[in-house]
Amino acid sequence: MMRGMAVVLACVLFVLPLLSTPVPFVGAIGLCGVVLALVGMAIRWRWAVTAAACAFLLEYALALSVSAASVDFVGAAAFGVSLLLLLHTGDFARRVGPTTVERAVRLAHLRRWLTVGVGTLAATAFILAMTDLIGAALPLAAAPLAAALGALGALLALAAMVRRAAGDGSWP
Amino acid sequence: MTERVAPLSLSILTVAAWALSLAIFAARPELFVVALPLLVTLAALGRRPSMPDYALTHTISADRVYEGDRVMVTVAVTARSPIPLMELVEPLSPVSSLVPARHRSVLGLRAGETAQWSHEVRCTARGRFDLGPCFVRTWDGLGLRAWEQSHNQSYPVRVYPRLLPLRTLPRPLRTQTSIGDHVSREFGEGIEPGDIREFAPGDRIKQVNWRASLRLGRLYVTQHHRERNADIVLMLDTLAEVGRAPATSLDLTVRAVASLAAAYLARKDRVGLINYGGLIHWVRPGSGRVQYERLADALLGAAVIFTYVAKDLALVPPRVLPPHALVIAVTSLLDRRFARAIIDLAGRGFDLVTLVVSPVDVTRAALPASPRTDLACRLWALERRGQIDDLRRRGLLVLEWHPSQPLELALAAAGRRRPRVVATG
Repeated sequence: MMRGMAVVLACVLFVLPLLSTPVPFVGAIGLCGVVLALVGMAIRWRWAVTAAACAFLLEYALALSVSAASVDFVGAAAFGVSLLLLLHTGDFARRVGPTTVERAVRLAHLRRWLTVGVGTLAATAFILAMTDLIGAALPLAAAPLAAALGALGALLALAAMVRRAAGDGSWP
Repeated sequence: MTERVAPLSLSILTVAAWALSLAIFAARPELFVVALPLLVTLAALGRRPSMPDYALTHTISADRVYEGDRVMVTVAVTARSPIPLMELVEPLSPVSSLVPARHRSVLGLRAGETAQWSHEVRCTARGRFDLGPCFVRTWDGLGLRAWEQSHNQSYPVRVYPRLLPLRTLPRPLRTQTSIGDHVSREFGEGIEPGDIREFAPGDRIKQVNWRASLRLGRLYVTQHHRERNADIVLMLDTLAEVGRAPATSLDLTVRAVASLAAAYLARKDRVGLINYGGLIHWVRPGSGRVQYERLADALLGAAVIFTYVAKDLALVPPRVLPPHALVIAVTSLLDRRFARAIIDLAGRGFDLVTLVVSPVDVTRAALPASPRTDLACRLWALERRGQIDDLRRRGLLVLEWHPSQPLELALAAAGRRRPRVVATG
């Protein structure tokens, strides 16, 4: 069931950018993502699923660049949540493996992911509102630099957090 | 309990970093927004985690089984705090295999809930092994953090050699003084008629042989043979083995010894064991259920220990190898030192039966079928026939058991070749 859900999410992530930009080479990259996701689900290899998520992101970025459409934050947030759910479902399928899991456990996880999705969407909306306020105070020329520095800072802070939480640095 | 960050965190971090990089290079704010749900989820790692709290109990259905039997392992987990996902793994021993189920389970528990997981293990080979070390891994709700713990409480399981059905057994030449199933030469209480003699004061009327009395004109009574037990010493050859576990020549030899021991003990005989190998050790003759357990425990650890030293049976104390005992040597005759030992025993006047377990069939089964293997096995079988004939020429009673046939068939030959001899009681 979880693997089926992951495959459905991979298909959604593949189709979403193509709806706005039906360009063959963008589709080819998305197709690579679908193949990687299928391989990841079949052999329960998390790096294949992670690579598939990266391929879908590249497809989305190319679609945005080619189309030069107006900014769509809602679609982007939905894409981000879909990516997150793809990673979650792929990881759950890997953790459970071939063992049968009770329906109640699967449903509990689905509820939890739904909550996470709604929560992250709400947090995203809040952060966007905050950036609107900060953006108004910043000079226009400094905005790209602030965005890049902010992204780098957030990434480094999270990497440090993961590193600290990992303790001895070993991965199961 | 060891706490770790789950691999999912690294995957999310990788994808988030990729999204931010693309956002900067493509100069598209949507890609920043795509990364936001991933970053918000990862921020959950900053919270102080609550350790999963649970109690694990382990039970096994039996701790003493025979080869091929199954043991049901039940693991019960009681959660004291909510556990979104828990993985339980029990490593398998080399002498056990799983019956359809898996030795891994995944559970989810609410606080106060108890869940049970059972799986069956088939014990494929004799020996001692431990069931019970259990590895547990639990995850938090988002799957970002994992806790690992090993529960090292182990439950030893003893797998005894499988018993082969036996009805016919080699009869001992000499019996002992206790009551048993063997016909003794001595007269007394019994059901086997032996001789008649004239009536004497003290004889009971029911012993009178009326037919003989009428014919001879005087009272005659029938004398009966006593039924006595015997001392049986099983001698196991652990000098060498061939074949693939769990069906090596030694495994078959041990099965034969265990079956003989159980059959003789069921007939009230006293049975002892001499393990003749790199290390020589023994179990003194005894009778009853406890003696069988002693013998079976000794057989569990029977293994080949390589040595160049030939062991001298003169070192074995007479209480272990009584002079009137029937010695049954069970061997695959792979090592000439054992043949020398049994010739020595026969020369010292022991009542000796040699049961030779053919290693040719075992070796043939372990090797890939080919004309060369077939030819080699046939030549080996011829060589072994010469070896066995040599022992027979020396006056030894040698029975040959091919594992593809029932053991009873091999032992039946002893009955034909050893007419019932009633010797000194």
